[in-house]
Amino acid sequence: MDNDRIRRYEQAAELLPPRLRRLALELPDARKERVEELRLRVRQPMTALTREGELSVAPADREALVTADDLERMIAGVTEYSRYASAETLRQGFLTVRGGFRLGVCGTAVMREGAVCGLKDFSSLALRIVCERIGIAADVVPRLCDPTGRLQSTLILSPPGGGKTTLLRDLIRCLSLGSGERRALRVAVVDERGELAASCQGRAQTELGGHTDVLDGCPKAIGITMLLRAMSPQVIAVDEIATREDIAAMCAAANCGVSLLATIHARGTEELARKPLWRELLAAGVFSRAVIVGAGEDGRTYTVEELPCIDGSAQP
Amino acid sequence: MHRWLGAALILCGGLLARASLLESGRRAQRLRQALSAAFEAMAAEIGELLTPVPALLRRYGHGEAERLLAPVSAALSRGVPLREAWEQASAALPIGEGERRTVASLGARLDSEAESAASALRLTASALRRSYERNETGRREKERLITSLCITISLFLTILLA
Repeated sequence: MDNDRIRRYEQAAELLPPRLRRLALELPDARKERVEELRLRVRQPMTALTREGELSVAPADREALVTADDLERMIAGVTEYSRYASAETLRQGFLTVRGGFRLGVCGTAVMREGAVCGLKDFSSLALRIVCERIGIAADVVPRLCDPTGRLQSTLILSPPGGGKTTLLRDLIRCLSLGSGERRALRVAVVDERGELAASCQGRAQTELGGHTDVLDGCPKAIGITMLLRAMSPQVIAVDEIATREDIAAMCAAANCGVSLLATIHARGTEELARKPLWRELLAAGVFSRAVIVGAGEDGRTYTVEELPCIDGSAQP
Repeated sequence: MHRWLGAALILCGGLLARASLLESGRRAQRLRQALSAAFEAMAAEIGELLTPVPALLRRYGHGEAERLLAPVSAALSRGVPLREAWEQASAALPIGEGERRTVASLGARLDSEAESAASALRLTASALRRSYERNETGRREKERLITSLCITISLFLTILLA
């Protein structure tokens, strides 16, 4: 029994409105430890997302159905009755919650001048139980460093929900702490969506090591430039690069001699080479290693590959 | 002898009643001033730093403003919703009924966008400041009235007793 996961589940359940909290806590421990997300949808019973799929946490009778008021109360609670303080992330559809959790939010988008400026009439919430796996990167780090101990810029690849962010978080921690054979590095993190450090009022709620600087809630392309100027990092880590601006900022950082760590939604290096934007990234030659996160019988597997440098102008 | 002692006690009671009435008026004024300043500072901090409500309550919940902000903060930590906590704490404030209603309505407007929350705070601060100034203008006259009423009543009772 994974007591740590059960404890995290129970901490997450504390964020639910009292009626739903009671139902969530009634779940047997064997199921609690497998829950990755709790999902609340108006007029539906609360469900728990596990690797096997969504399981119902509550009976389907009328009293156990989630109401719009439940969602409002939960959002008011997790934002500490200060919706203005979370407006920027709420606009993007999520909230970072005290305790290192993350709440995905769905509802009606409020549009202003063609852009989403907020969400109202909430219809669904997904409470993600951020899991820290301390030590999973210990065997991976030596394979990413060159003989002088310098980190090779590395991409972490897996499909969504595959464990990229969990690995990245522990890589940051390992690099920042150093070890007997390897000195500690200054790692700077641009945590645009608050998933790596899960910072709450300036404090990282996950273990990222003693030499890590976190820039929270800042777009990656801007944040990388800010960190380069302000913190003189040896490594910059970002989660889920997705735009041409992100790639440009990473190239600029690489030109300054900084090693990079980043995650991308892709099953493997072949998929990278097929997508135009990632072809540009490979063509830039910024990253030389890839860690492919796979699902084995006993948990995740981490395969380190060398990234090819390709011709970005050629069609796949 | 007893009659004179009773008369003296009545006189003292009158003076004490005067002091108490004057003090309650002054306390209400201090509260208006403190809440107005706290709300202004909270609005500024929301506008500049987006500081969450619990942190604001802790930061500005001292002095006379503690009468409102400390009970709200304590209720929030017990899990009471902000609106309910704010209304309950406002109901106990020693100010006018209209002012209490104005302050109480603020609780429902803080959990919103920054502009809206800050503007609600500023409006309430401005209402309290106006009320403070109004009361301050007539304060001397009101104090004189209370003094003369208390002394007159106690002297009247003293004369009756003596």
